[in-house]
Amino acid sequence: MRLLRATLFRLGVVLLLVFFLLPFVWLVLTSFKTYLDAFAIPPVLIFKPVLVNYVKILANADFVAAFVNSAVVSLASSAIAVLVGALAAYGLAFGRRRGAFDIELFVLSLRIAPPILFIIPTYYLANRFGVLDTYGLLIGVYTLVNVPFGISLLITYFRDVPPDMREAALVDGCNEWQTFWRIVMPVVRGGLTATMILSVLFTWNEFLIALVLTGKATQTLPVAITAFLTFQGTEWGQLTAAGTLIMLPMLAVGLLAQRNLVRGMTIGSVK
Amino acid sequence: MQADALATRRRRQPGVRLFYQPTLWVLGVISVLVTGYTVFLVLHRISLLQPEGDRFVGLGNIITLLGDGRAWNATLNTFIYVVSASTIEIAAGTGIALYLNRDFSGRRIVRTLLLIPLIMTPVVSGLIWRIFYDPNSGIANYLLSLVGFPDGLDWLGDPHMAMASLVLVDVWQWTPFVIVIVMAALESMAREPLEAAMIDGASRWQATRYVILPMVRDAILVAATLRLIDSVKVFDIIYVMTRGGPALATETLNMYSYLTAFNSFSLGYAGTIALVLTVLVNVGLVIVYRLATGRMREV
Amino acid sequence: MKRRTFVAGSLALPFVAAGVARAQSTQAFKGQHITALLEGHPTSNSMRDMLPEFQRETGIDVTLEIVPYNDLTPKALLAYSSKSNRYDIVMDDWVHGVGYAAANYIQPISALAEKLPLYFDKSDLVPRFFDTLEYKGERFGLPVYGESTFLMYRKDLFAQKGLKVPTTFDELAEAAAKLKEGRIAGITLRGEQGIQNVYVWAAFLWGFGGEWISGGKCQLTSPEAEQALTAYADILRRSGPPGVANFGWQENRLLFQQGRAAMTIDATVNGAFNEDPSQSSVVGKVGYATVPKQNVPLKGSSSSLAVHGLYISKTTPSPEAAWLFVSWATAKQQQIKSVTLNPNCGVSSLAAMDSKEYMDRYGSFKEATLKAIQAGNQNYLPNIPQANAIINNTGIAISQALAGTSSAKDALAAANAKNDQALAG
Repeated sequence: MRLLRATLFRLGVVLLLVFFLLPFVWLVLTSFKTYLDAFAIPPVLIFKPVLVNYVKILANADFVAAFVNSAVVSLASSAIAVLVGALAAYGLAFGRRRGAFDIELFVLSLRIAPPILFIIPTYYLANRFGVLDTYGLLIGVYTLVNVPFGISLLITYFRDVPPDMREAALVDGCNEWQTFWRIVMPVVRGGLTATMILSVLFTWNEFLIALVLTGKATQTLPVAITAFLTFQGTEWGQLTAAGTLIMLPMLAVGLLAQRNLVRGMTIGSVK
Repeated sequence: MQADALATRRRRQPGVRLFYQPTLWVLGVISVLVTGYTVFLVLHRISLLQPEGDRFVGLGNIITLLGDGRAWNATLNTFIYVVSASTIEIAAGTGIALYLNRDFSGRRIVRTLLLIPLIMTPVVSGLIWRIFYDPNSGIANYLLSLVGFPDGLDWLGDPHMAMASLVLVDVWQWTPFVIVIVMAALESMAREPLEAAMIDGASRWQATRYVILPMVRDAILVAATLRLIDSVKVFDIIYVMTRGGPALATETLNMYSYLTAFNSFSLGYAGTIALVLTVLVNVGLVIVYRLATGRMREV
Repeated sequence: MKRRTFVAGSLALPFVAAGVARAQSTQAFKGQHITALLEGHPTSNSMRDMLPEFQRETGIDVTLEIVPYNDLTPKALLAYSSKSNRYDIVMDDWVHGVGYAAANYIQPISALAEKLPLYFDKSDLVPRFFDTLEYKGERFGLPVYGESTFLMYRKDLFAQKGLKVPTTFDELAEAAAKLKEGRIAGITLRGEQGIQNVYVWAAFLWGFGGEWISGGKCQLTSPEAEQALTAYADILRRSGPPGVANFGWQENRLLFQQGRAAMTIDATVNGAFNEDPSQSSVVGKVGYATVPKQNVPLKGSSSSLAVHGLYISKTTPSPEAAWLFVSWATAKQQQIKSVTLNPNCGVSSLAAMDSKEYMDRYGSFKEATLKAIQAGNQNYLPNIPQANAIINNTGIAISQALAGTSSAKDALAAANAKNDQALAG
């Protein structure tokens, strides 16, 4: 009986993986295929892999530069956003009466406005101050975009921390900052990691803000890869190779971060 | 003695307020500025193609919008898309997170792999799904033909089917988002209530429904709200797969606003559409929040 | 002895002088810096690949920013409208270029061409391409690549059924109905709402004797336009493939080159895909003919003429440097090389079209392409700033007719009204 349940469970996991991974598998396989194989029906599962797509894309200096730009902008803006967001979430979780949702509502509502509304004035302003196409501008804008998300998400995790934990620390003589940094933050490690991952992902794949505010020096991956959709056809070979390469860092980050998504501290740690 | 100390500490609210007040002020100022600019756009006729042609039109844009059948259609489409996609994502995401909430070998890898739809560049995902949906060369109809439906479906070409096809892609892409959030909450929740329930003889189902779910309710609510808000702004998938067609069957307000701004270069009207969209969603958000938290206060 | 040397010497003098003059003029703008906004396209990739040569020859420092074609126009317009001088050169479809010219964002080239003819050879550029880039009597920019449309048909299937190549749309419909068999569609055409279906449907519009605009008003409510749309919807309903209502260029081309459609009307660039053994199942089986037209007087030909050009910004501080780059990038030598570096059959240089590399890859349909370009309709798509809005509105109408959610007449009436609004500004 046990064995049956375990096997059924595994089967379920496999089905889930098939559904969620099929497009990815297609992407990777196609990056190693010639064009004819790529679009054949029935799908060609056994084929002779070619590396020409990867050679081309890696020789493309613009693409490599975009990789660096995306990494810098995503990591920096997410790190700042998570930090600022954690501070604010801590304050909101412990400093307000539970049930006072107006500030949370306001923060959430910041995410509603379509990017079109703020990128155009940002463009004109940035142009006026000569900061278009700079890291500073991009990191600043993405941080501002990610902070509300960080706050909204982190509040839930901070709320899950038993208030006694904080009380105990304060009674023991810690000030608020120490309590925040040394006592509470480690407890919400899982939530912090989840927020960081999602922030980085969002920024890594964001297109519209990147399109408008970047130039040659700071062009990020989503813009670079979309350039493969030309007026006279899509360059599938380079697109799929690029699409695969773009994902690798995020996959690595996700895998590494799993360590932090494990069981948090138990209540037993509070005296 | 200790009680006094505790009471004093508790009254030391001001310190905590510093944690969030500066940030909120900055966000507040920016949102006022953006709103101001939007109102400016709404009241003017501005076209990127006619640099000297800006003029004040007062409520003209709003009146045009109210009579714009295409905008009403887009509103309906937005509503359908947002509600169906989000509902499925929350249900499936929570379900899957619960399903995977146990020890099994390869757990870390499986959970990382599940992130992949989120990780893939949206434009690329859209293109791939479009290929899958190709009625003649796509995998979707190929698979259908294997199980007895040789004609397959007109996934993107049939106006009645297109919306469902797009929602499926959205579900594929964003369910992992919900999974991650709920999983993190499951990981950090206290173990004792669950252990106590198991000792008391609760079945897995009962433990889930009465112990686990209430404890991760906050996380689920946040995930739901974020999905509702974000799916209103969905763009890449629709743009790449159907451009809003066929026959406007999949055009959302956000898409309409974008096309007005970046295809017709009419910033004033685009701003109007975007503003109305923002207002509608804000209202929706308040309603949903009141409903959800109203129920939460009962706990 | 001395006399001959003297004569030889004096004969050589002009060449030496010219050589010196040439060297002088190429370095005249050394040290200047220009930025170009380019579409993602093989030609842009070639420019990037060959850039070091230009920088060496002229000493001009060039930054190339490559963005997706679909998003290039808003980016250029934002830059222009903010008076930022970000881009000295912009590459774009002339359909948008007209808007730049009308808004005074780009400058005419005649003065620059006279002043610095170094790389510019008018006789080498495809005449129809060059002539299209004109607005209010002035020439703007130089063509980088272009295309037209033609009718592609399966010679083998036609032979099998003993059919003649259709020359009118009525014949087209008949042939399509006869050719539809099993899993092979009689004809495939683009149906996706927007520029996709408009680009192909315009062939029907012009071919039935209709036109886009006359006297400042949109003409989509004319009987010709209605016939054109009805014919389009009918032929696809009767003989088109499943899913055609969302067919973009990609799906359409794919279906045909997989051998699953007997005919298609689409861009000349498709020929390259049809004849490429590494991806096509119909190599050598495709015939290329001119786009059909009804036996009525036409207001313009039914084949397209799409040209993408490199334009020079009006307020650039370095117009000469920009012109040097533009004329260099489109010069004979560079275009010939580009066919090898990043193969592309839409080149705008006649010499490049005669090159071995081009003939090897694209020779089988080169004549048909040239014919199509020659007959191409400069106003195939409305060449006015409001083009995009008109294309969007019309695309919706076509899509509605295809889906059957609206009659051709009603759909066109709605689109026409919106277009008139856009025209009125």
